[in-house]
Amino acid sequence: MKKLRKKSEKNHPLRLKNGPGLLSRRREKVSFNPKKVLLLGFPNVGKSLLFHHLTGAYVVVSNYPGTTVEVTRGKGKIGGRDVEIIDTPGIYALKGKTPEEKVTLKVLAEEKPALILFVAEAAALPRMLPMLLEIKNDQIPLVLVLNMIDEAQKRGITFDEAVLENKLRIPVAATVSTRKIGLDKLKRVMESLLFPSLSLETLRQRHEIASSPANHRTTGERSSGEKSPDFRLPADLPGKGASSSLPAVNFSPAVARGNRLHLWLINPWFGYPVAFLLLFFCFYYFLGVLGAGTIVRLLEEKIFMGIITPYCRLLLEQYINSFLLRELIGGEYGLVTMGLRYSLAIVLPIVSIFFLFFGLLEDCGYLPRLSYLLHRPLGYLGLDGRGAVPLVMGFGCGTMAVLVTRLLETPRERFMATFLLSLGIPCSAQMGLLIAILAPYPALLLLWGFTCGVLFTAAGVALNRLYPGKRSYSCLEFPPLRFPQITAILRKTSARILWYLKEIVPFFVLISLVFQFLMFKNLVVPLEDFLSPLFLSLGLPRETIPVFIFGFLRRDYASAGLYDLMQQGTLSPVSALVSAIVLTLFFPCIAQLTVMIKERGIKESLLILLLIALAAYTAGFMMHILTSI
Amino acid sequence: MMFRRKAREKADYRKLSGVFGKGAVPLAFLRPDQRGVIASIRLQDSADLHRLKSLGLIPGALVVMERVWPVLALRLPYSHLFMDDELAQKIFIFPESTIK
Repeated sequence: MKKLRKKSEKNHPLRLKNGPGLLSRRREKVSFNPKKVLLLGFPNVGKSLLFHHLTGAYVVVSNYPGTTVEVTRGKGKIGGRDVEIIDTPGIYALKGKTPEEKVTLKVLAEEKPALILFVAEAAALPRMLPMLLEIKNDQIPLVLVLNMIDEAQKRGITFDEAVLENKLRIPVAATVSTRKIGLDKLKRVMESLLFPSLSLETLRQRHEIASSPANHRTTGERSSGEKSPDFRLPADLPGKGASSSLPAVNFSPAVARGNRLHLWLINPWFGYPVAFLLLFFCFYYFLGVLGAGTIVRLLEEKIFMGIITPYCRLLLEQYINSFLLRELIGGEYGLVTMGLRYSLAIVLPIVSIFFLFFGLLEDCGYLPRLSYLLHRPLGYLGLDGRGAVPLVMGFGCGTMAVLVTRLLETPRERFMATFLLSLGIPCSAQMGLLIAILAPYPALLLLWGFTCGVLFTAAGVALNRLYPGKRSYSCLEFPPLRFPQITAILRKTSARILWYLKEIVPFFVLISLVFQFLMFKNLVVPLEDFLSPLFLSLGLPRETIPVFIFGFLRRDYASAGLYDLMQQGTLSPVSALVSAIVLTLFFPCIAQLTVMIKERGIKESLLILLLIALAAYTAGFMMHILTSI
Repeated sequence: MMFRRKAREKADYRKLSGVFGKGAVPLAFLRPDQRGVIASIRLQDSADLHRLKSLGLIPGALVVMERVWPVLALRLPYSHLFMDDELAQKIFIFPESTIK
């Protein structure tokens, strides 16, 4: 019995791992830990940007609900002292239904924050109040941050912070986080709540003086000259007994102008062509011509092949005697000559350009309009409008897109999106190269696009029918359309490029190592023998097998290999088409696979891989038979 | 267009009059630029209702229809959203024309 109790104590989740002996030491440690400040609020109200201003660390901020899918931590200085600031994913309710809500509730319960900053969009405060009041019951000091006060003022909504403070009985700080307005006051409020150096009584007195309306007017930092005597909202909600003419929702001219553009963008007759042109322009001119063409040629031929590789070889020959080591670094598949060249000179420029373009679309608020237009078509694939974001992003980098599937609500939708991403969406690097391969034969290029499109749709529709369960209701928000801010986009793009460098470059280095290992050990030939019947049935020459094997490691690497084979003349145009189709549908690269396993678990990932292998092989086989007839 | 006709057929006024107030019709009844006031939301799941509440969809809220095709897009006093047809079937409104 005693033993049993001991065991259950041991497994208790609240028990410390180090045992009771260390408990006292740990307690001491806790007191030295910085106080924690939690940022909480609805999606897309500016929490992440505020986090950035308070900590100095940059996280990707976007004009799209649900960008922060993880809890981000940073160190900030408030009143000269260190505090830990925690950014939570945006939530609509404290119910714990969606993963974001669960995460936020967990953070609230486990982190024991010393202060909560409830960030609210000023123009939409009324619908955020219920959650604020729910949190207020939690007995943790709370500050209401009224963000985007400028957009509210544009709509003719004005606030009196003092009155609001008195009514809610919590401190209120109005900010415009995009322009860093009101941050000083927020920091002052945070300091007084986190480090109350004075007695409670004097603090209360001081607070009362500070928050009295007369004092407030002199110290307040509202930019508008107009001050309403009370907190008032523009349109009172009409009840059943309201007069026949309903009061209008007050839209100022500026909003009305934005609204006209919005109405054009969501009008299918105008919206679909615009969406098509935008994406075509992005993929063809930006990625194809500028990225894959000009910049890659400059970087690869002029800089890498012309300068870096020869110098590297020269240095190696002078300083390193071992042949093996020389080959490892500067050989045909060396770390520098292949690993770095592929990642930095070929793939990086393409991906950077895509991120830049995507950031632009995100920042001006176009993506939700695209979601609106694609809502119905994506419904057939078991997704809703939100699915447009990971799918479009997948054209840039599938690995990142799989991470973004978190913004979908149910596991079913996430599975569908992950499957579709791995099946039929070529990433920018791969697509650019495949287009380059097939470009001399426009008919084949069209056939490739058509086949992949049809298969993609068919697989999606079929899986939607077969997968148990149903899509939940979706009701999504349009964030306001606004002029993109260049600095914000550049910051966001550089954050994403840094992420790319951190995550992907090691993979390229790894691939070059694996490649060399296989070459040294002569392992490629038995593998080729094993796979050759499969490839012969598709009408593909034996030379394509290594391309596919390494294509698993990195999809665009396979495309590059295919491009080489095509230049050498080993591959006929028709087999190029077959291999392009199979390669498009084939397994995702290993980076994407790793993320997929992390996100979806091993079971679902294996299921996805099995389905993909089947689909890719069948498609290739059918295409081979069709073309041979 | 098809959808609106179907929605009209579905709105059985006599059946609804006792429960949701006289003249409440599904949200999809509204045409672009028409307005109404939300009468009731016929959903059971409390999490769903919470979510709608936080999007500003509560009984008494003023709705302005923006587009009905490809999916419903609407404006509320403090939010701007689009939604599924299935969800729109569950939301009942008093159209502006019927409010006296």
